[in-house]
Amino acid sequence: MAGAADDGAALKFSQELVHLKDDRTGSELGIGCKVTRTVTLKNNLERSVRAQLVVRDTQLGPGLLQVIGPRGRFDLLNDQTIKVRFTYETQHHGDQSMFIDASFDSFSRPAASLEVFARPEPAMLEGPEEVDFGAVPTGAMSLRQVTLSLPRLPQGQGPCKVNVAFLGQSGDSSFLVERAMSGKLHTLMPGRKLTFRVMFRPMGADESERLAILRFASNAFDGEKQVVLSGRAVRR
Amino acid sequence: MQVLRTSFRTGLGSALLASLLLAGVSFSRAVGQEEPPRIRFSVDRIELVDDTSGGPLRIGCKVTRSVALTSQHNRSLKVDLRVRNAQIGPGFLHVLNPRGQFDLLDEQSLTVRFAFVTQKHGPQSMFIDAFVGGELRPTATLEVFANPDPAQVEAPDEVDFGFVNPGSAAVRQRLTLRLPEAPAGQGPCRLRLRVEGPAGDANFALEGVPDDGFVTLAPGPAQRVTLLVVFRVPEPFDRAEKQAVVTLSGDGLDAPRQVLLKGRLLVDPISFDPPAQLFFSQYELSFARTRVGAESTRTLVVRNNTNKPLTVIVRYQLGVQPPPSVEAPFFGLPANESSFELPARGTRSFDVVFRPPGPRGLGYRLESGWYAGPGAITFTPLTFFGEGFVETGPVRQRGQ
Repeated sequence: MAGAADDGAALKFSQELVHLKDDRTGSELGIGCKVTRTVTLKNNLERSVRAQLVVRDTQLGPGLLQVIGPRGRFDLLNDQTIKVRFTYETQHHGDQSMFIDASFDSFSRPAASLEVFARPEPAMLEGPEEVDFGAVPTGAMSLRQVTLSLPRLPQGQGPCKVNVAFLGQSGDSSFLVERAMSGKLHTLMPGRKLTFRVMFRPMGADESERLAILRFASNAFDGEKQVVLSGRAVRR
Repeated sequence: MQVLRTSFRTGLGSALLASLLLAGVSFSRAVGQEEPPRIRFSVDRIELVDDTSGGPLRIGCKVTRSVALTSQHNRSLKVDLRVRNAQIGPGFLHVLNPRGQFDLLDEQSLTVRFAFVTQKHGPQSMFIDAFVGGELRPTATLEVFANPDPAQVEAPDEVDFGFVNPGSAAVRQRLTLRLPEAPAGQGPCRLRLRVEGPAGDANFALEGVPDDGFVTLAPGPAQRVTLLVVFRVPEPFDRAEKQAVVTLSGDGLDAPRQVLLKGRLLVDPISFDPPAQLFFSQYELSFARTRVGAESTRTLVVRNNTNKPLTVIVRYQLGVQPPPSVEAPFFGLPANESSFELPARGTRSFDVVFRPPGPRGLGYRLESGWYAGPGAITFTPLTFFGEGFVETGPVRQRGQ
């Protein structure tokens, strides 16, 4: 470490932490938003080094944080400063930290680390909590449309796009969700709707209330979004 | 000892001690002994509170904090940070940066950043130990303390199926869970749900629980998780009430919660009170022996055991006693072939009067059929029975 500058770091980012926020409003990012930022990296050594930037994801999956440039190994001259440009895409809500580590020459340990931090708010799907088919004669069929959407909020206040997965249905088998929903991952943007049809066809003489639950998961919130289906059979 | 204490309280004592220490350090350097590594965190203990409110954390919160780690050593040290969790399981406290072994230069100050996720309520301490080189004991330790409040889960005390119709294989009811109090920063609460009962889960089951058996309950008055409780209808003639409990447990709760499940097979959509039930669907209302010319009254309560309104039609038939030509001496009942409405789970009362006619004492039996509908029309028989007697005076002896 001979020749290191007074501040002790061979390489140094212009800041240790970048808290990503919306460009226009300054508010926290939404889900599925992609932002690009630039910081600088300085060589504090009194000699040229061959540096490298590596993305380190501590808790998240790969591919969210990407260094646009410089990529691969690059030369950083004595006292030189270089711009480091990166993109980050939020894919779920809550605190998330990733790092860009800068190392040089043959040192495997990073000489400097930049934390990229985001705190997207959760966003719930808007849609009915329950769809009641009412009284339907035994053997007859009743159709309803169920629509899910994302709240339309000012840019930066809400999600950019979220993924919605239909997890399946539980309960009475008199209810049937259209085939197109099953097992699919749907992308939803604010203002756009996800509409699907549900059929209720009660069989048997039992006149008690029939119930089923549709379950949806998303990267925008914890737990599940549920739609309860209810209906009653009546004799023809 | 007293003299020593006194001297240490004085400036002279302190100066003497400092001189001795300095002399020791100089001596150890002179003979080439290694100076013990000197690094320290900017604080010894950090208590985690909610970022927004400044209040205690809630279950499921994730907070990120930074402290400084400073070297006061006169040369570069190789340091690594390890998390030590004294009371709770791993995975709650993560050192985000720096990770692995790193160099801490002479007089250098480095930012240590860590994240903590609350998954249990109550006081909890974890530690970040800074180890230098091959040292076996940590050179510096940071205590990370949190005391999250337990989650306030809202659940019903019971799910009562009442009487279920024998015509169906299974019936369902909603079980809704909420976490209505949502202070800023509160995260979701994970709950495990389990059905326990004398017959295991033979009579009741839960539907809508994720495959891993855990339900994630997001905080907020508008948030809820709805599950379906399935009551498998018992076999015919199995009239006993079935019971089980759903137990909700999780690190976020201060104690497991239980929701009672109960239900029984519906045999009679209506039942009568107070008559004794003789056998399945056989009821009898008996009056005490009543003197001819007097009357006896009993209140008959007709009860709707179902969760839907019923129309009840009553039909009468005189029993074998007395002969059919004699009018029944029971009054206050609905007229023959008349009907009345019973709301769901509702009751209707009749003050039934037994007035035995003269001139002789006899037993009277009135049989009635109570037809409840709509839907599956069922028939519930009820028999009224009363006995009249003639009061006689004392027998006069011949010749008296």
